Amino acid sequence: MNNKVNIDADTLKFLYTKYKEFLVPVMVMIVSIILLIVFVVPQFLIFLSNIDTMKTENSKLSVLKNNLNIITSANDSILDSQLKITSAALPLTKDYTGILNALATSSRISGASLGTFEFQVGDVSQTQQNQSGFPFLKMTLNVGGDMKTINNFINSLSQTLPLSEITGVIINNDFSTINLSFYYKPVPANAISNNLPINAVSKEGFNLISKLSSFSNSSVSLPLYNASPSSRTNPF
Amino acid sequence: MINDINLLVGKDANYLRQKKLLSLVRLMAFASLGIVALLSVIAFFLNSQFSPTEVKKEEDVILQNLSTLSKKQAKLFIINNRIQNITTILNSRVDYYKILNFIIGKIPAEVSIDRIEVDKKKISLTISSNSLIPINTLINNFVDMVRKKETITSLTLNSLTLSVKTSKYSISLDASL
Repeated sequence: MNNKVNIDADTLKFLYTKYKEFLVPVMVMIVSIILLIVFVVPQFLIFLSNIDTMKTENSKLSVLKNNLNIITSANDSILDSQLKITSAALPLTKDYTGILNALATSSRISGASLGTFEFQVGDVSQTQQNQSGFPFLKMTLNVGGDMKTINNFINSLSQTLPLSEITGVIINNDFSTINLSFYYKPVPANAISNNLPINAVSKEGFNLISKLSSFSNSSVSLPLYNASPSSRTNPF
Repeated sequence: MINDINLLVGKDANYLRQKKLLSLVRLMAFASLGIVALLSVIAFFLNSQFSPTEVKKEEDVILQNLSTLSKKQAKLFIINNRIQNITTILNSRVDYYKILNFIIGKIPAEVSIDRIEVDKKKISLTISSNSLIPINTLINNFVDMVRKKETITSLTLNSLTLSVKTSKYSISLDASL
């Protein structure tokens, strides 16, 4: 038996004549499948991607709305007072004037007499930092007075701005040496970002600011109400 | 007889099968077109409803408003940043006033303090007296403090000397904070 199939023009013509009615529907199905793969499926993939994008953008939008609400609710003059106090307590840069003012104030209040003192600057190309990561100016102070006076001086110093920390005290009969550090802390570059949540000053923060404003050499008196936006009407 | 002239009403089985197949294929073609059209419409609807474009527009408006309030934003950020750091400093500071007051309060009046040296970890005392009794009282007070873990946790007596010239007893001791 001869199994060879002869494909020639007549055969093709015959097949076409026999199956021509099937040609169009089959072409339609093929085109439908191609459209499904090339157009419809990518559109659904875009939809799924949009869902994820929308989740991210919605949470971003929520942060932005909250930030805008808090910032517009904050009172300018209260913010200025709070900024002044907190910057006096922890300056952005080395505050030599503030330090001398703190020493003079403590000396005046306690009755101690200030002797010589020296700043230990160290390597000016690098910032000294303590274990908590705060830059500081170290100094050694000679103070005159009896034990009670020196102790009062230490107490006064702990309630003056800028904030300081005593690292060592040597009290002799009439003369004492105090080692202390005055802190400062610059704001990191690019720290302020619209995408990070902003908080209003908390109740604890306000209490701290009130406490700082009561320090001996604080020149700021705070208003009696909180700057929290919860106490204010939302303009939006 | 010519096969394609068939005056009989019935169709042959092959023809009927082919006709059915053709109907089925046509139906599938319409169905596939319909499904693709329907899916396209659904995809278009979903993408138009769930487009992040509107959200981003809203973000842009808010960002524009925020840009006019950048100074206020910076102030608020710095204030909160300072508060956080100041709290850390205040919590880590040692209250030397309280420590010295407490220690000095335990020293009898008959004892004179020649020198006190204090840092975060220890306190060193050099005291003197004409009599050993107040010195003994002082040591007992300090031992009591160690026992009760009040301010100091250990006590070391470094030296006890008598100055014949001044007739004064002098001791130096170290205590761990």
